[in-house]
Amino acid sequence: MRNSTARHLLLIVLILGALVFFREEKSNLPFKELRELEAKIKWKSQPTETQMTTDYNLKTSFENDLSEKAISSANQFILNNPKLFSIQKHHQLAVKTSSNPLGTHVSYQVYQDGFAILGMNIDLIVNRVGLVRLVSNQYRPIDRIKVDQANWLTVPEIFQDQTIKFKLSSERSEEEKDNVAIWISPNSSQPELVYVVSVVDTQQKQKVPGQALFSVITGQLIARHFPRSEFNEKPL
Amino acid sequence: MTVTTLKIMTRFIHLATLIGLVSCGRLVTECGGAPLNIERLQAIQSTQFQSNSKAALVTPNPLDASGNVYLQALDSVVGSFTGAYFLPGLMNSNRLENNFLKIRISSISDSLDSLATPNSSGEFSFPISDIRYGQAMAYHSLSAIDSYVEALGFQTDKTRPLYVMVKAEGSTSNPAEVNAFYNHNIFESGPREIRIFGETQHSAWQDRDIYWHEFGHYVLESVTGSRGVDLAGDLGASFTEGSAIHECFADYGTESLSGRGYIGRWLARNFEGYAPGQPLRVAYDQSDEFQNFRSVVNFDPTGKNLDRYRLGEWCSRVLWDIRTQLVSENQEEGRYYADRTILAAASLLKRNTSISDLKEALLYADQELNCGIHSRSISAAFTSRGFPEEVSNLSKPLSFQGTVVGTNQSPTEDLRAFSVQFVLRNSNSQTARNVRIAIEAPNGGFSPYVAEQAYGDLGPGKTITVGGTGALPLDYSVIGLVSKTVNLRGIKVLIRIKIENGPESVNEVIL
Ligand SMILES: [Zn+2]
Repeated sequence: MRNSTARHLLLIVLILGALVFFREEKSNLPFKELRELEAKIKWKSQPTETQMTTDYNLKTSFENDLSEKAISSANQFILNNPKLFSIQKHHQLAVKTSSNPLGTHVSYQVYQDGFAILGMNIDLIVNRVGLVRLVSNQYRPIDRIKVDQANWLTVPEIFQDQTIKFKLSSERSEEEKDNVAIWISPNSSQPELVYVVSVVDTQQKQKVPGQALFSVITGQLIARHFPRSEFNEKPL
Repeated sequence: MTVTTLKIMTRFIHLATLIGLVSCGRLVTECGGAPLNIERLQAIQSTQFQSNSKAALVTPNPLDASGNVYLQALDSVVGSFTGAYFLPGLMNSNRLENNFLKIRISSISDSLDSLATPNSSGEFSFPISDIRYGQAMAYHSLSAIDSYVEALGFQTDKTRPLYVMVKAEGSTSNPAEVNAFYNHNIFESGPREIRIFGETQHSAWQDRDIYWHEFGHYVLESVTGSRGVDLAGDLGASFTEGSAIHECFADYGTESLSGRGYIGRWLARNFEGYAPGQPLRVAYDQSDEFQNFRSVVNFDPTGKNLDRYRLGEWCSRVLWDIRTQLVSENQEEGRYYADRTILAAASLLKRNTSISDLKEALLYADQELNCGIHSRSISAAFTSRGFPEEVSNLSKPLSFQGTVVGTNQSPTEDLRAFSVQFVLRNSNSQTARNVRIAIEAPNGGFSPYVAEQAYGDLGPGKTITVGGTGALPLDYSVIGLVSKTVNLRGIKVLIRIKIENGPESVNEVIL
């Protein structure tokens, strides 16, 4: 009986091994072909952002190979699904990766003329055997927006005129001051070129900075992000 | 080969596979990729690993450390529960910060001279009533949970620093008002921020739970690539399922890592309605209304269920059930495998996520990491707590009647804010699942400002009324902003009704 148990276990191990082997076979991607495909689409030139590890006592090295492979698989997935991702010529994609036990998350940020388009990310996950799963696609083939700087207001100009319930946060850092992006509300088809500004709502009880978006052309408030508050009273 | 031999073999293979999957003192590792470093996880969990710098702290807080539910911060006995705790990875042994974590007192722009420094033995040692104690507690707690997440195999987003203000400036006229904020700065710039308010006999900054909970918000945003699992909430919605799931993960992370299954016994003492020692929220079974999905999700005209913590607490119990199952498979290590599975599921959540999305993500993560052997217990965790296994589609759409009304909520004087007063009725005999309304500007002309709101489940024959006398206030409606120079007539305003068990419907409201 013991012999037969061992034989059965061996059989199971072999079957499992074969399964793993064949699943991994699938993940061998045609890299040459892929590079040719990639050349047809204009990816943004500064792609992978590497992230440091904070495992304070243990240095983990992230396999660059793995993230390169994942990016290629994800790129191919996007190229193979033009109906799902009808990336316009005036849009560029920048990519970053992060690893987790499910595989490598690959997220794309969309740009136009160097300005990030807020709220239009594409997120994919490439699992441990190279299969790609779409997690989230916020891409929309919106028109190119004019970015001619001649008629832009400045942030001080915007704040100078407004009898505003917002004031600029005193914690704004130097590099933040001229942060311009393109905002496309999930509920509108009109992109807006905006300043991203740290503001404090003077009417709040606890004056916690959040971010607001102001049109660079009209200076109007377009959207605002509220920090997550734990013990706020309900509006009732 | 006879049929009997075949049967025996099949049975044997089935048994052997099961043994292979859950025995040998480990859970499934052949599906899960790299095996977990259990020793390291245990060291972090018990806060016992080595570092050059240390802090003198009472962890997790004086109440839990002593078991004395009446203890207050200024009681002299508190000091006797102090232990030495690690502060790993300091960039400079004189300051509580590293490349990512920056601990401050009142503001990002605090003078560095005002911050905590170590004593002559190199230890950050302060009485619990000293705000610099809060700084040391913040650094210790946050570096511990950060290491834990990373040791589970999750790379988190460190491209921007996390500033922590343990006694944030800008408080109300009442300095004893306790609160905590997490600010992800979602518009692609600026640091991440945790701000804690309130100086009392049970200050939040003295409690590890508050740091772990707030860090949970950061982790969820981080593992989801900041895609906006609660974008509607970020943009001002009063209630969404995404916001409940945010609280659910932040609570679960704290409850699981501490192993206590509850959160906030210390800081709950600041709030009315909590007996001394009663936790703020609990993930394990209690005889209360958070046991059942219906009692936290059904729309109630008083608005009591438009509360992310109610649904969040229910959700944390679902996650706790899953953890309990994994722990029953492996007493020592199950908790770590549970945390890994649950965090992996979190990484898959979609923009404006929902409880249904969460269930699907958990099943997928279990499939990928544990060969799917918990699919039944995951489903049971939801259904046993009242989440419907399947919901039938509504026979007809919800009926909507709405008018545009002005509000005084305009944040600036050059803009006019308008809201929508409405009645939304479910005349079906089935419940409408996860009812939401969204305001849309198909041709531009105005900015959808508070663009979406959610109302939970709307039972058969039930109505949601927002705006007007006796109804919920307009804070529960959507808001659009329009320039004062623009003529409102001619602007198209659409209200989209979204439910999970039926098609969306679109209604035009006239300005
Ligand atoms: Zn929270």
